[in-house]
Amino acid sequence: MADLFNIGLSGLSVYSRAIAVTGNNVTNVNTEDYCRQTIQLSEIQGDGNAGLYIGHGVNMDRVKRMTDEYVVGNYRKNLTDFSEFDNLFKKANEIDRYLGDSNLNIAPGLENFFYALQTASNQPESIPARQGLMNQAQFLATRFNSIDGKLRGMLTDLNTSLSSATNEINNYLSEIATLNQQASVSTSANLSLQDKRDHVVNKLSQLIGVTTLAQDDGSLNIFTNSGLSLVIGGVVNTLTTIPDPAQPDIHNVVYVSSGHTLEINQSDLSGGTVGGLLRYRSEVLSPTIQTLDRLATGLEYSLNEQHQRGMDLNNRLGGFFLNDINSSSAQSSRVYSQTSNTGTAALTVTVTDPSALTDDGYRMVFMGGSTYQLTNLRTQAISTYNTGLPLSINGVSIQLSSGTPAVNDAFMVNPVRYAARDMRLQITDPASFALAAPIRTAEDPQNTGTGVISMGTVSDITNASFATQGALSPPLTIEFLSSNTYRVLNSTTGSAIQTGPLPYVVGQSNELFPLPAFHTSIPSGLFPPGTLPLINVGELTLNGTAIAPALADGVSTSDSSGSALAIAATINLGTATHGVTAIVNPNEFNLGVYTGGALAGAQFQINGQNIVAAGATQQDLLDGIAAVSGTTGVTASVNSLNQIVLTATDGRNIQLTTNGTSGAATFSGFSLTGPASNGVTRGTVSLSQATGSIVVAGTAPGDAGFTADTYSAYDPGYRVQMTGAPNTGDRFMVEYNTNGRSDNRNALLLLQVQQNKLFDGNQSTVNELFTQLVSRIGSDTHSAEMSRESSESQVRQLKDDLEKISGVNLDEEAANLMLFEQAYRASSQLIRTGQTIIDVIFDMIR
Amino acid sequence: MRISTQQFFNQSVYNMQEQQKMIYDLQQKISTGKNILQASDDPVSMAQLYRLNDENKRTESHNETVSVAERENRLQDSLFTDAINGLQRVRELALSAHNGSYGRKDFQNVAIEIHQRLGELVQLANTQSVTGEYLFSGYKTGQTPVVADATGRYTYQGDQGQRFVQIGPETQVAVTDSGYELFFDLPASSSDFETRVDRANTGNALISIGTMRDATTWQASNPATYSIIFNTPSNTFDVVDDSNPTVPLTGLNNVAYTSGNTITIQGVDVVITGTPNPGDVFHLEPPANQDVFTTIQKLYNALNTAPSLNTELIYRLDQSLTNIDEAMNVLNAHRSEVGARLNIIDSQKEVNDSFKLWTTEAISDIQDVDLTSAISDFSMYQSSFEAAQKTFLRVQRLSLFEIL
Repeated sequence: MADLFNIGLSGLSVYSRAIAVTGNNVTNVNTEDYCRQTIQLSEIQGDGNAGLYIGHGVNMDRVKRMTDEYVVGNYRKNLTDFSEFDNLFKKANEIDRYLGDSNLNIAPGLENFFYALQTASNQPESIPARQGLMNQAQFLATRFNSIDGKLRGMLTDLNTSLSSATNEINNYLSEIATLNQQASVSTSANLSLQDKRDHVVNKLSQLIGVTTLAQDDGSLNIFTNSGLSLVIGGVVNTLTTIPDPAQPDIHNVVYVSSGHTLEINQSDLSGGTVGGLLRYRSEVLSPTIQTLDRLATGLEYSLNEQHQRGMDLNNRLGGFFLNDINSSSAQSSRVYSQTSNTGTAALTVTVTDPSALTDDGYRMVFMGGSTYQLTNLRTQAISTYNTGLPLSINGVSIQLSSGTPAVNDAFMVNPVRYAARDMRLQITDPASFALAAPIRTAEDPQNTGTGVISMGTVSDITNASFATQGALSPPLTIEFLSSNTYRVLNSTTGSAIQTGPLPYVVGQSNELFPLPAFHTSIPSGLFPPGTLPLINVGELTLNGTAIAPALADGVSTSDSSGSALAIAATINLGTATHGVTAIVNPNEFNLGVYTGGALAGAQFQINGQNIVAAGATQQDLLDGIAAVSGTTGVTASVNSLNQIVLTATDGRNIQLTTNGTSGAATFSGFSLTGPASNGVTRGTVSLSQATGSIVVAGTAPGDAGFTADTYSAYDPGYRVQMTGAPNTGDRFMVEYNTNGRSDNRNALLLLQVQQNKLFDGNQSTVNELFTQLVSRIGSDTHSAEMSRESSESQVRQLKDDLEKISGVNLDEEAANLMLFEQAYRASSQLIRTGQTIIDVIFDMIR
Repeated sequence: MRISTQQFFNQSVYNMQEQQKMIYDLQQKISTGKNILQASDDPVSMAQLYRLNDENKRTESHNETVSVAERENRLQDSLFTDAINGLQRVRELALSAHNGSYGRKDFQNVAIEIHQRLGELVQLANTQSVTGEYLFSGYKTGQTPVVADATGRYTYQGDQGQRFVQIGPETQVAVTDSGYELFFDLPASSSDFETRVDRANTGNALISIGTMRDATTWQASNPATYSIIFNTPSNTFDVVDDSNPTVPLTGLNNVAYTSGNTITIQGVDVVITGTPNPGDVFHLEPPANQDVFTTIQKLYNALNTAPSLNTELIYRLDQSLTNIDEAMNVLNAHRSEVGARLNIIDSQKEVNDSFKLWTTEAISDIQDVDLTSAISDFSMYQSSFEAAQKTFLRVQRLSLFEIL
């Protein structure tokens, strides 16, 4: 009977505990990460022989946590992913919303600014229009400042978020360590301890990606995804944040093991909040700040450059429009010397070409000698430069401003840092907007030709022409020496700046300055025959190259020996060596006014041919010259002063001979009377060279009509073009645009900045770069959202799977409750039955 | 399959949240009327939107400039018309003076009206905008463009600048013409004469515009050019024919200089006033060009002093008519140019308008929400959301504990 009691008792004891387990399940239905517990029963070993075996009741083997380590592990991994994408998405979304808001972003600021500029260009003299421009320019700068402030605020917030995330991680790590110790000392597996530890590991996984390794003693070791140990049994290695030694505004997560701080590659920390935040910073936030800074740099550079080429309402040259991108403070703020550097070197960075700028930053390490190693912080590509400083790379020049670097000194170079933050309008008075050009041109009212001069554009405001405020140094006069040559004079002194004669071509647009280096030989006048100098080797050198002798002396005038034609041909033989091209000019000789008289026989010869003037009129003489021009190569024409001009178009010599017998024909410039006379005249040769200077030297360059000197192109710092047909003596002036208050030429050029491709190797306009930025953030946000959604549904799926195993179903528990209650009742019934049996025996005894 | 109680709740709540989010998104789209609220909604379209908005705004600013350009050119057009009418009247007056029956008094009367017309023309050339800027001064709009000096010669004080404005992405149109082009750089009758101070002079002496004393002599000597060259010291001067500069004209050799005295050269009277320096040169020559004001001034001077329709007056009337015709030709040419500009402005305005219409439509296509489909979607989500809520209420009561 005792068996029956024992069996019943075992039932009572087991089922009351079973009801308690069910009750525990029911009450923990809403407990996070609670694993449903089930009981495992077994029969108590009975006794008796074969065929007579009787069991001894029920035993509760164990209460079991319903879980599946594989599902849990998977769930945790996806939880980490989800948390990473969730953080990435939320933060990126913040920027996306901010920059997408048309009231906050740059695009309308730019649009309004250029609109105001256009309005001002319509009325450059109007102060209200200029005031409007000033307001919009101010707004634009403020927009850059405030967006930059917002983004940098995000960077600071991110440091705080990282720091609190690492604190939380550390708390969880020590909690796990404590639980590990408890788990390893308690012999019986404590289920709630396991639940708790799983819960903490889940929490930890949401903060950072970890891997776990269960130990035989029941403890759980925790590692980062990259393998750094965080918890080993009861020992904890923590994570903390410290400022990046090379860029203090960014805090990095570092690893602390037994009091030693170890820097870790930030990209190794993946998953969870920390992974998400770091990814957000490196993929979204920092590039955004960088692009915004690049945008600001390009805009500042272009507006400044153009504005400085203008003139304001007070006749002053335009100063900086926005702040100087290469101010000394800007230059030094682009480089951080790592705090651990032992050298004294201070570096600066100058932006030389905004179009070549990229969003990349560099870590620059001095390797000794003149070797620097640059690591591109985005691509991690390493390049080595052996030529020392300054170093030019992607639109910037890195210089050493003071001190000397020590080997392994590191510098963090950010070519556009703080450009958006520091954008300031430099103009405080609306009259100071340089909307006019500082030069203007004018034609002389006395001009008789149809030449039209352009108004001119400034190409280099640093040229000496603009050295004096309010004046052109010097103002220039372009004076036409003939219909196709001109020279350049200083208008104030009248002295020649470019004696020329410089070539002018009718029927096309002529660039008046700068020209290629240009020099023309001096016409030789009339030489007695046989005295036209020979050009011996060494007498004329061009750019150091000796010109070979130009044949004979030209006494034999029927050919072209020793003539300008021959000299030019000889020079051109060596063009490949000395770089100079010679152009032969028509040889002209002015006979003066023909005052009548007939010519016959050998009274007058041109290039050895007798000239016969049948009558006494000018036309008779012209006919006479024309009759033999096929042989002489010389034609005659009458100029506006009624003078007869002989021309050898090909530049050959003109030899004139008289026998002194004519008493009738007279010229005002050339005598046919008196003793027999003759003379040879030589044409001129123009030298031209596309770039650089022409050095004319030698022992006797005068023999070819040249003067030893260095002939350079003249660049006044502005460009002026001319079209039309000017006449000899026509003048055109270039002067300072004093009081040119209605001039809007520079405003129109400033407007061009809106449409100029300023960025990405002249590929993108300001608006396009900003649009790229916004759409890049949009894409980043969008893809983060997609990843977040897919990892979220994974998490949900795995959570479902887990819930299927571990979750409490109240209906099930209710059924269990009924089941266990019935079993309990039945067990108590067993005891009652045993009692009844004993009572029967007692009754029999009695 | 086991489903935990919490799973069941979570699932229901999640589903309802998802529906709520859809409803929220739709509601936001409907209330803002925008399909794309931030770049991540549709990065590609957002980029297009930025470009279109930029172009739209730029077109707006071009259209504003179009109005400015149109206004300025219309103003010019009407001023040119006034000037041409004024010149026409002067021309008629000059023709009327070609009348043998006119006496000194008649000529003076004509002269009085011509003087008035001249005043009007000068005033017209010195027209100021509402903000006080001179319209015909080139860039120097703070400067009165047309000013008469002590000798009765009109000079241009502005510069030769011309302002252009941007009315389209690639189109600039002029909105001003300088007074130099309009009134001073005019072709002149080659049989007329003009006087001129040499540009190299260092003294301050001026030469008068000259009057015709003896037209026959002048016309006989034409087209010669003459120079009055001051000697060292500058109390005497020579007058030479430039074609023979070493030989002074007869009787004009070493002439004593007195400021304000008349010098007669080949029938033309000129007056030099002020202090010339040695070597200073004054020219009397056929004009390279004329200014319309001095031309009319000369006409006025001739009419005002003519005793009868003598050779000198006829010469002056002829020269004036030729010169005024040239001036009218230039103004007419400029007026047609203004007309051409107005045409360009008009067609650019059309281009701008249609471009703006296109961009506005494109913006609307990308950005604006399709209300019909959005509202129908909204109702759909609303009813399914309500259904989810109702079933949840029912189902969550289905617990064994409710029955126990």
